[in-house]
Order: sequence, then structure tokens, then C-alpha cells
Amino acid sequence: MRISRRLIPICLTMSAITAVTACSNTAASSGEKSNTLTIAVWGVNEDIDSIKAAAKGFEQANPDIKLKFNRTDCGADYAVCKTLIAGRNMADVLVTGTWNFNQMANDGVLADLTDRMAADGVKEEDFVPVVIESDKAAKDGRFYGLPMGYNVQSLFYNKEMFAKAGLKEPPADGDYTYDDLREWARKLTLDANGNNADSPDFDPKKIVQWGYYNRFAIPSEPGYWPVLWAYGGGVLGGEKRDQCDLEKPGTAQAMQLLQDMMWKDHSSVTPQMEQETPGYLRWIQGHVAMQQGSHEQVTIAAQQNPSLKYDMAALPKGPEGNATMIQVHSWAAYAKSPNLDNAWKFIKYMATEGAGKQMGLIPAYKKVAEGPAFLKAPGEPEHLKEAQLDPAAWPLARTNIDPQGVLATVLGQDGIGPALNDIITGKKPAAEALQGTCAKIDKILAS
Amino acid sequence: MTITDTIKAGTPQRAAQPAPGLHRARRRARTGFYHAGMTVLVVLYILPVLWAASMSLRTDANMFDADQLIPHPITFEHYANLFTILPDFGRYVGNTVLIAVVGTAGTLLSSSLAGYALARFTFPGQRALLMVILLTLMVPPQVTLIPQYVIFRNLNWIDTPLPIIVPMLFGGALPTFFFRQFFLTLPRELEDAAAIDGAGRWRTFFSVMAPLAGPAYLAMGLLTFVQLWNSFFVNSIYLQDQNQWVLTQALQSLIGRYNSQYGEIMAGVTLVSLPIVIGYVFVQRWVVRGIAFSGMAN
Amino acid sequence: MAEAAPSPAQAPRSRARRREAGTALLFLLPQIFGLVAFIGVPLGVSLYYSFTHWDLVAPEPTWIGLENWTHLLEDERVPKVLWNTIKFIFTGTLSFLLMSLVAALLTYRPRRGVAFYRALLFLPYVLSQIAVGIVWRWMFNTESGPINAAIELFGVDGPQWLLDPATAMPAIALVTTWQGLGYGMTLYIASLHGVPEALPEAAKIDGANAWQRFRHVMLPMISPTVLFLVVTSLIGALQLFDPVVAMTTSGGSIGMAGGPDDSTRTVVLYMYNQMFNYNERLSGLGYAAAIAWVLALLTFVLTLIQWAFSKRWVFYAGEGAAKKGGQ
Repeated sequence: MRISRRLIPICLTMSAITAVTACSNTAASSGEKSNTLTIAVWGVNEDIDSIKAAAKGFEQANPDIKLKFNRTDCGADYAVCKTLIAGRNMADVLVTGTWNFNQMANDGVLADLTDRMAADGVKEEDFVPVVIESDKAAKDGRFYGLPMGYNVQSLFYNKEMFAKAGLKEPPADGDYTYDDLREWARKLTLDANGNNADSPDFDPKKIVQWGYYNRFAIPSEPGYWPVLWAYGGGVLGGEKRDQCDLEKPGTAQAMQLLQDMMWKDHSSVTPQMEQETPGYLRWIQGHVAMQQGSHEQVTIAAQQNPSLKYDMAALPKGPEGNATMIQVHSWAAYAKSPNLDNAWKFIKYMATEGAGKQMGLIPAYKKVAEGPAFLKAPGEPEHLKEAQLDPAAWPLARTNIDPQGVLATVLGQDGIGPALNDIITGKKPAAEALQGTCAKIDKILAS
Repeated sequence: MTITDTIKAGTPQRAAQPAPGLHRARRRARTGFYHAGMTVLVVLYILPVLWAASMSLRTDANMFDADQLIPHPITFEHYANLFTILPDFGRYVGNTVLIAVVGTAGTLLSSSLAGYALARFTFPGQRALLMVILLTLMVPPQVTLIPQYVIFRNLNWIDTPLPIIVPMLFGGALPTFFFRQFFLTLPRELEDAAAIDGAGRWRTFFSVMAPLAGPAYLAMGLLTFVQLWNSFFVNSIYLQDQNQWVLTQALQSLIGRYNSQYGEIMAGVTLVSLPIVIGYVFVQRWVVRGIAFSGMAN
Repeated sequence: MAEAAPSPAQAPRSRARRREAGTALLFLLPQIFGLVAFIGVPLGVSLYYSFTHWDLVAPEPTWIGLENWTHLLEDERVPKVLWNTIKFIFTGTLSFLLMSLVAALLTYRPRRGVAFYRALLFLPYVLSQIAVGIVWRWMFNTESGPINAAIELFGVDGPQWLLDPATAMPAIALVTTWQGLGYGMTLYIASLHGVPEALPEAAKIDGANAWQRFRHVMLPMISPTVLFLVVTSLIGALQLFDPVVAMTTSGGSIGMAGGPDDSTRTVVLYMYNQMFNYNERLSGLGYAAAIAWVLALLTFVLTLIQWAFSKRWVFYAGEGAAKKGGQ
């Protein structure tokens, strides 16, 4: 079977032409220095609009720099971003998240901003400590980004349901325990006949109001990690997040608590229920009394159920004290950008003067965060400061940094994915499901 | 059978009629049975789609209620919101239509030519060529993405629809294989007759074979169109400038990690799917009439 | 053909053949050009990558020889993801081929109303993937989902579908069949319309019943289309990716998809994970390309086997008069 001889030379010529096109590394349009600054942003449309609005001030102050916003996902999924980097067509400025910031810094994608900060007088002390700390790469302690803002896990609760159940509202500063939370959750769970989960007549098949929702039901890490930490457990521990904390007793204890709330007390939204309606929407619609979430819940509530009467409190104490998780979004520059000077100017503006109101996050620039414009903004719940700002100073307020770049594997099917599924569906007790997971994690850390 | 019997029993005046009338009654009953069965089947089949459409008409508070298949109350706010959130919706429609129409037309022409050559010409290496064409389908597209990206970047085609349209103009391996298979089912006599009349291969193709392959063109055209209309991943790589977006990208932008706007998503999905379904009904009615006219089946 | 004996009687025939090959080349030119330029070159480059390590952010790939290929043989996850993919072929692909044929047979006859039935059966194929994931999670949920509600009518508890490793892949197979039915049906109908009406009529007069008419008259006539669908749906099944991502991504990252308990992680999902999500020693485009090429070679062998078997059951109407070498 031969291809006709005439075909061969034609094909060869054509492939030669495209091969040359494919392999030549002539600078792409964006590879040259220009007055246009390309900015890779991600998120829902409101997020993008908020960033564009915050950048207005920069555009006025720098009329010679033209901003071009591209919808390039360097946050939730690093895949599109990697394709563009491999294709040598990456934007000048990008937005990272704590979960992939270190990996990008390790990969050499991000530009070192330390010297520029010093030259322009941008000081570490101007920002919330735990947040700015996460913009230092674990590999060398230098700055590869400046915070756009952050979110903190807090407890959001329905004021009316607490009043109806005759319960006092949770202390805003977090001076209560997970045992308290569990007890309230049972009292706040009601079946169709109005019995709460403590009543002997309670019918778990006819629940109309749940006490609690945690993203453990998905399972997504901002949901259950703070609980694990409060009990002295965790997934990846140590300064460099290179130790397996899964077989620490605290991990099993915390996961057992969350499992019991779903399957024993029937007071918490299960994965089955989550599949039917996401738990946070159940809370927004007034079918769940308490949920663990972060500041974006304020935006969603304003959008979808403005009449919801709610407030927030800091997360409760476990045996190890109060713990919460902080996720930071940062502005960073692409290391190989030909427009690093302009990129830095933009990043500096967005993280300092222009800070606030970006992607619905809490500003990390102290001057803005502590000013009235943020704290007294209309629509913010009463205890915003206690629940969302103060916890950032807790010793167990941690970020989900991933210096080893293993988070996806650790949480996936080669890591704890199967064990988590057994726990959240109530198939196995937490301690049993977690047995042997550290062997898997160590293998991932070693590879 | 039982239904036919029941209907027969229920229409005694018919039963009294001579054989042709009885025959007609039985046929009518069978038709009724067919339509009843199909209606039940089809309604069950599209239940998930109805659910999606119904979500677009529900209030946020009722978004996931199991008893809301028929929304009460009905609201059109999500449709209104959609155009506030995505003010450039019309532009995305235009971008999508351009890609889908030009891409489909090009694929049909190039692939049917290639499929015809593979089916009806004789040349050395014919079967090997078919296998090579099929081989290009067998490597998962994810790993060719980056080399392709580099080609299009060097051509300066990023943030234009060209990386999606231009490869389509040259045909696709899958449609080419389909056309080859289809042309092989057509009888040779017509071509031979055209050849005796002195028509060359090109004229034979365009005036005899292509019209005969009408159903294949319609079917493949439709499927290609829908694929282009709904494709997301490739577009999201090449079209990062929001002005160049297609509809799927606009819909995807409504999904957030913690904040998905389900009503607006479903409103968008409904609006995006509707024209294609209506188009399909019209095309199929035309096909049905065309076939009934040519006397294919009773 | 160049070796054809140059006897004077055969010379003009040989010239005619050469002219025929030239015309064929012109017919094929756009397709060949497109495939070479936009797919062939990237394919070649990806084959080159399979001998390199490239995490996509390093400036250049590093040549590592056969390491990706040998690692592939030792990677204990590969048999598992291959098995998951095979599970899908035996559920999703088979049901797609059968159910879309049934749908086509139910609606191919031109009569009042069939255009609407076809359009409605086609509807799921049109529905955007975004909606499919959301809607089917509702369909499958154990609390108020209609599937389990229907099963409970028979007094049994329905399965946990996407949350149970035993039923997750069948659930995905159900969704892909539901979605793909309109595609298969449309192509089957197009090919059924090519069957001359006289053939089944003649068989009917000869006393053949409906099944015999289908089995011995209709099926052989549409067998080339069946072959097309068998070959291409197998290729597609071996590359199953989008539906798995839509139905099992819950934590936000595709790196976590493929659950529960690793029961739906397919070859291409694993390949994608290695390309973008994982950070192991060999992770990156190089290892992904090696996986891709092994998969392609496997597909190629399976296709050749199908092709060999197809001679027994595929019937080409135009074949009778075909010149030698045409088929």
C-alpha cells in the first residue's frame, strides 16, 4: 500500500512549510515591548467588572498605558494559562490564588517583585501579615505577588431561625466550640412536623430545615480544612506543607464530627442533598440555619435573597483553639513579560491605592481595609470585623499554600479522593477510611 | 394488537364495512398506537431538557424544587438579567454564527470531495490513505493543542476566529470517512450512465453524485453545525479577547466556583439551543416531504 | 502500477489510470492539505514530545529518550484507567449504537409528525454541556431525582448513581447515550433513506416478516454507516473526557475528577491530569504525549481488527461494478 508518488512531494512540501511555522520562535505579537498591558483575569462576570472598575483610577493616572483584559484562567485551573505560556503568548499581568501561587513561583512563571517593592517604598507592614506572608515564595522567601484581597472562612447564620429555636446567636469572636455548633445544628434541624433533630419523633426522611452546611459534602477543601486544623489535624502540614497530617488523631476526630452531623444527627446537608441543590443556595433561600463560607456569600445573598436576615461569626474553637482558612488572590507579573515596568506600576496600584472591591474579596491593604469605605459599606452584616477581619490574626489562620505543587494529586483519585468519598457518603467511619492514606500521600510527596 | 381490537370493537359501523375499510381502520389504529407510544417516549426522553428550560423560568427561591417542573410562579427575570450581565450577547451570536456557518460549509465541500475520491476512484495507496486519515482521529486532541497553538500564534491568528474556521475549511477526518461510506452505498449505474454521456469526474460529482447524497449532506451538515455551535474548549484557548467570544464562552462565564447563576445559565442555554431545534424541525420536515415525494416509503 | 507491463495494448489503460489517480489527488487535495498542515505537523511534534520532559513552563522540552515510554509500562494507574475506559465501551458505546438505531427505525419513515419526534430526540445533542452536568445531577440524585423516584415505584431503593463506584460509570454511559442518540439517529436515518423502497417491499411479498426484512434487507444496506458509527464511536469512547469532567468534577479542579473511588478516571482524563494538574517527576506534555500515542496505537489495532471483520458483514451496493483495487 503506497500513497501515490505525486502525493509524497506535495505532502512533504506542505509539512515543511507548517513545520517551519510551528517551530520558528519568532516573537509573537505580545512578545514585544508595547504600551498595551495585557492582563489575564478570571472569575464570573461580576468579578471581571469589579476589577475593571478598580482599574479606572490607574487608567486616569496613566493615560499612556492601555489596558487589555483577557479572560485567561490562571486561577481555578492552571491549564489554559500553561497552554498560553507554552505557546509563548502569555499576558503581562495575571491573578494567582494561594493554591497555585507557589507552584507558579517554583515554575519560574512569576516575576520577583522584591526589589521593585523596596525601590517604590511598598512595605510588608502595609498589608495584613498572614496575607502578605503568602505572597512570599516558599522556595526563597522573596515576593512574587501583591495581594488583590483575601477571603476568610466564617460561620454565616440565619438570625430568624436562631430566634425561633430560642437559641442565642453565636459569639461573633468565635468564643464557642464545635460541640456547641453540633448541638445548635440539631436544635435548628426541623422535619415537616416541626420536630427538631433532638426529638424522639424526628423523621430524618422529611427534613425541611437543616442546621448546618459545610462544603465537606462536595468535598472542597476550604470547607473542611479549618475544622481539621481546629482539632489538630490536617491534610498537608509543616511549614513547607510537606508532611502528611491525615493519620493524626485530630483529622479523624474532625472528619468524624462532620460525618456524624450528616449521617447520625441528620443535621447537616449530605452529598446526596448537595447534588440536588447546592448547600450554600439552601442557606441563601432560608432552608439551612448555619453554613461555613466566605465573603462572597454576602454578594450572593444580596443578589438572590435580599430579604434574608443573617449575620456572621468567627469559626468555633476545637481542642487546639480557633482555626480558619484564608484564600488569597494575588496580582503577579509574568516573568518573561517585556512590559515589566508597566506591569509593576499596575500591580502596585491595584494592591494599594486601588485595593478593595476586587472579586468581592476583603482588601489586604490595611489603609483600605480599616477605613470606613469597607467596614461601613451598605449591605455588610453587623459583625463583619469580628468574623472576617480579626480571625486573620489567629495562630491557626492558615492559607492553602501548596509549595510542593501536589495539592491536585493529594486531593484527587491517587490521594485522599476515595477515602473522602467513603467518609462523606457515610460508608466507613473516618478513622477507618483514613487508614493508610499517609502511605499514598508520602508516595506523592516523594515523586 | 389489543388496542387495535378495542378500537375495532368501538367502531362497529366500520367493522360492518367491507375489507378495504377494515384494513384502513386497522392501519389508523396502528398509527394511533405509534403516535401515543412515541409521544410518551419522547416526553420522557426530553424530561432533563424540560427541566433545564423550566429552571430558566423559576424564581431563585424555587430554583431546585422538585415540584417545579412547571414553574409557579413563572418569571422572565433571568432572561432580562442575561442581557444585563452579558450586554454583548448579540455580538457573541454573530461570532458563533460566523464560525458555525463558514466552518460547516467548508467541511461539507472538502470532506465530500475527499470521501468521494476514497470511495469511487482507483489509485494506489487508497486504503492506506483512509487509514492515515482515521489515525489522525485516534490521537487525543489535548496533546496536539500546544503545537497547533504555536502554528496559529506564528500566523498571528490568536484572538481571531481563524484558528477554528480555517482547519474546518479543509474538511475533517470524520466527515470524510462518513462521506466515503455513504458514497459506497450508492449504486454505480448512475455514474456509469453519466460517463457514457461524456461527463467528466467533476461534472459527475457535482451534477449526479452530490445531489444523490443530499441526505448525507444534510445530516453531516447539521451535526457539524451543532458541534461548532457548542464547542467550548478550543474557543476558550484561542478567543480570550471578550469581543471575540462565542456563546459557549459567554455561558461558561456565568458559572462561578461559589456563585453560579443557575437561572441565567439555563436561560442562556435555552436561548442558544432553541434556534437549532427549530431549524432541525424545518430541515426534517423538508427531508420527510422530499422523501415522500420521491416515493421512497409508503 | 508503474510496474505494469509496457505492452502496447496496456499502455493506454495505464495512462488512464494515471489520469484517474491525478483527478483523485485533486479531489483529495484540500483534505490532505488540511490534515497535514493543521493536524499532521502537530501530531508529529507531539510524537517528538513523547521522548521529552516538558512541564509546559520551561522554555524548551528536555530530551529524555524512552523514559516516558518505559515509565508508562510501570505506572500502576494505567491498567486502572484503561479498565475504566473499557467499562465505558461495553456500556456507553454499545448502548449508543443500539439505541440510536432503534430511534432511527422508529422515526425514519416519512409520516405526519416524525419531524417533531426526530427534533425532540435530537434535542439533548443540542443541549450545551454546561446544562447537561447540572440537569443530570438532579436526575440522578437519590432524594428527589426522577430516576430513583421511578425505581421506587417498584418498591426497591434506587442506587446512589454518581456517588457509588459501582454505578458511576454506567450513569455516565447513560448520559452519553442520551446525549449522543440524536447524532447516531440522524446518520442512521440519512442512510436508511438511501435504501431503495423496492427492496423491503419485494421481501415482504416474498413473505419475510419485519425482523427478517430488517436483518436481511435493511441492515446490509445500511451496514457501511453502521461500520462508520462503530469505528468512530469506539475512537470517541477511548477518548472519553468531557462527560466525565462534567459529571464528576466537584471540588473545582479537573485534577480531582474521576471519582468516586477512581471508578470513572479514563485514559484521557488521566492524560490530562498528567499534562496539567500533576507535578510528578515526569508529569507534563511529554508523558501525556506518550499516553496519547499508546492510546492511538491501541485504537489503530482495534480499528484494523474491526476493518478485517467488517468484510464479513459490511455490504457496499456500489461494489459489484467496482474495479479491482477500489476496495
